[in-house]
Amino acid sequence: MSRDYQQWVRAYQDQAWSLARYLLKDASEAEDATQEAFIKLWQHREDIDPERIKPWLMKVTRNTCLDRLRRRKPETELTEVHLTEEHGPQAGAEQGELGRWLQTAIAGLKEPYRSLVVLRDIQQHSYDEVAGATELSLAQVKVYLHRARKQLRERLAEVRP
Amino acid sequence: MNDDQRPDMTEWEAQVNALLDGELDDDQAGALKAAAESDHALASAIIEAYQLQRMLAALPLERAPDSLREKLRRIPAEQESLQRTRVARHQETRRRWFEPRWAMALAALPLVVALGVQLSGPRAPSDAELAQARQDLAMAFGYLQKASRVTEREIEQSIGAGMRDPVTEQTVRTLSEQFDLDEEKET
Repeated sequence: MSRDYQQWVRAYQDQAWSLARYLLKDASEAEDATQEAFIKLWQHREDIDPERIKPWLMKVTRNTCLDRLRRRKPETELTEVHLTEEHGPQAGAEQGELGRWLQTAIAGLKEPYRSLVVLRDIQQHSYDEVAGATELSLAQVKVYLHRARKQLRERLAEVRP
Repeated sequence: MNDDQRPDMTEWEAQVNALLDGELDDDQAGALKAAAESDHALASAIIEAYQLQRMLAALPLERAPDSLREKLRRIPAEQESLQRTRVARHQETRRRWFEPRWAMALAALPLVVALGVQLSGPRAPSDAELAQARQDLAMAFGYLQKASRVTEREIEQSIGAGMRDPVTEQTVRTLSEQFDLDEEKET
């Protein structure tokens, strides 16, 4: 079972970490949240359908992040600029100005739009997995994702020549 | 296509999203493309949505830092160690409860409870107290019997004297005065 767990870590650690980074913005807190989610995975490993490990883990990671966001005091909420800086100049150089702007725009989306864009459009999970991770129906996922994309397109249109 | 003929833009957007997600069949996708050829706004919407999708998909998945990777790798060992500590602590607690002094204390518990109940309820007399009470009672009965015998004797004496001399001199004197018995004697 420990071997299975190590395989899950290798397969999903980057996705869980990336989701936590988009949701929490703060790297240290994202690291703690990801670790917390994997501890829960280890503790519940025998109760989870092996076929559903990924959506389960993404759901727990997301819920852990949302819990942390709820506990945060409003004045400690990090700004969008912080996210851009955290991603660093190297990331900016690789993605270009538009890529950095897009990350900031995603960080500005409200929940569940932000999670849906990260899970579906960035991480490319299936609709079924996204529904499982966000605890939304398939129809809700499609409607909310449609709204999220529309918001991003509108913001993109504002900054494009 | 003019504005009157064009379906609601929200419906178009839904179809554009479905197109990008690969959810439209060939006929639906063909119809949408055909509509876009004659509708500049729709064509722009499809292009923007497509570009956005490509940009989002191109965003690099940030690699988890090495420190986190190491923490995640160590979770099984740490959790098992924690579990062992918890079990050991639990067993230690149980063992302490079954030490002789605790066992004796547990065994004595019913006695303590019984004693408490006894002390808190009506108290039964001890044997010594019972013996003393019996002795006191016997003595009391002794006095009573003695007193009874004295009284009885006095009553017997009193009644017996009365019976021996039922007509007292006083009675005779009174009767004599009433009926002048002395004169009759003289006559």
